[in-house]
Amino acid sequence: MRRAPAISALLALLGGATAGYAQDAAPRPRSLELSASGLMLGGVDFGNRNATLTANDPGNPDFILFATSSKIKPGAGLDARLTFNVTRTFGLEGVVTWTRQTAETEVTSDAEEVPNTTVTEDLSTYFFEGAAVLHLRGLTFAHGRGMPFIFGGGGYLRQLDGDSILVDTGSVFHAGGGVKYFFSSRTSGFIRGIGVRADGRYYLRSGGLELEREKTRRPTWGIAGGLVVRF
Amino acid sequence: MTLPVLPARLLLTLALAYAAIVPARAYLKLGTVINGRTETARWGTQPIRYFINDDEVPGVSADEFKAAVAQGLSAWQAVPSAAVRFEFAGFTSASPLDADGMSTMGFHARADLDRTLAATEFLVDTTTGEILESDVFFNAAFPWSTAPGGAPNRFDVQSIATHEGGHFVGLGHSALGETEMSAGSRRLIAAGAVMFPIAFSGGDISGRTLRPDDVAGLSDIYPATTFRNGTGSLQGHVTKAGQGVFGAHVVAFNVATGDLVAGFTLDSAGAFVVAGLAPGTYVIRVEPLDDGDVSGFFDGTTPVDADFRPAFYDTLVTISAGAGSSMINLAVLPK
Repeated sequence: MRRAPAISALLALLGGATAGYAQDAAPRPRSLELSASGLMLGGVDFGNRNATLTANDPGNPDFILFATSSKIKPGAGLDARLTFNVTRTFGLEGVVTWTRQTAETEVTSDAEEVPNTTVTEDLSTYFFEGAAVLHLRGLTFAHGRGMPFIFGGGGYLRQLDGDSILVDTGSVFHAGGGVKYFFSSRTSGFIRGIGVRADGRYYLRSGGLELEREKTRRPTWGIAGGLVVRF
Repeated sequence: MTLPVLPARLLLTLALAYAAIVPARAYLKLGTVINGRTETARWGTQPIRYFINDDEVPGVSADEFKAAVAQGLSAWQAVPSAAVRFEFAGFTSASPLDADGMSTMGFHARADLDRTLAATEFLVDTTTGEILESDVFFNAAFPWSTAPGGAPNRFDVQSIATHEGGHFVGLGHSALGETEMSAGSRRLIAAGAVMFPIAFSGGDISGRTLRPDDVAGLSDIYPATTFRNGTGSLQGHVTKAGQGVFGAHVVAFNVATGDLVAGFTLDSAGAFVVAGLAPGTYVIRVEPLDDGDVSGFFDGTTPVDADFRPAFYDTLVTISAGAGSSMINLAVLPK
């Protein structure tokens, strides 16, 4: 309840009067939507690998110089989407996602008794994707202000390390669903509506930091929430 | 260069009269100082032709020796990122110790060298760094074998030929290995490179297989066209109390593949470059040179500092193809 004055002020700053809006979360055909969300992206566990030397005497197991266990920790980022609503149900999106994560390798069991240590590296990961979105108009709620949607797409992955050195490029696909809730909307003017969105996604990426011998598609999750503006 | 056995004490051969350490590169390469500048010692023309001495030892005929040497050299020739080729020129009765314009490999009895399995000597053009002749002798005072699976208590000709073959083309020793002192001598526990200076025990044929460190070293001297663009390098300094450390062993561990490639700090500022690294993410470890006689790696003109504790660099390092890493500083503490 305490938010209402602030939201009204924001709407006024964006040039919209709040009176006379239709209460409908479904977009107009051939309209644009811009959204900016905070994103939490899940991590990846790469498992263990030992640094080994060949033991003298064939029957002996490899000599372990030290052992490692590696992962990418979950990290936060931003997700920006420009949606062209082809119809009231179907839209096409251009998506740019940036996340900041930390790759971490724990080093243990050193043969010369170096204390266990954690070696890290910051990663900046960019997704440049195209996507499709379906607004589930039959499932609107809150008197039409809220509406669920599903979406999915794919594109290009680019990952840099903390010194902005290219780590790898690859591909990424995502699918998910969420809800949009429009505080208000109107049928005329430059800004037709302002609301919020929240969603969950499932990512499948190929490329990027790989700390296992075999490159493989890596699944991970993401959750996002932010502001959406309809034009 | 020599490959000692147990108990080990390195014999420094004439090769070191020509040898210097080429700075700013991984592993150790043989070099020669020309007008104050150190040039890598390498063969100028290929294929590199070699003769086989026709002397035989118990259990190894001249033909068997020739075949085993050829297999040892073929391991180097098969490295896809390097361009080196060998050619058998024929049998000879010439000694593998003679500087006669012929590169000769063969057995030679040196009972006085009771800790040296084999040695490689060079004739280098000191104006160009070009290797003109390289001779390898296998010490006939030891028991040898060319059996496909090795023979108990007999040293494997192919394994030792692979190691000496590395010297033959200009590689120095790698320090990727662990040893322990036992009854006053150094015993090999494990090795991560064919070019480690202490051999596997008799009967062991592990030395036939090149490791990533060997491959990187050869490729750095004789790069195939794709090598420079397909690999990257690690660079930085090792310091102790703000001063550069000479002779520190810097090991790069590829977290994805498990490959180990190493190099040394080679100047008073503690600078190092480890080249020939496959693109990927690396853990960097630095350790003192304490698993072999220092004289097996350096010529003694600069004292090696082994008085520091092994340590890891606290950041994962990304290596990209065709590029060097950002400069890293590995600060170590005294023991």
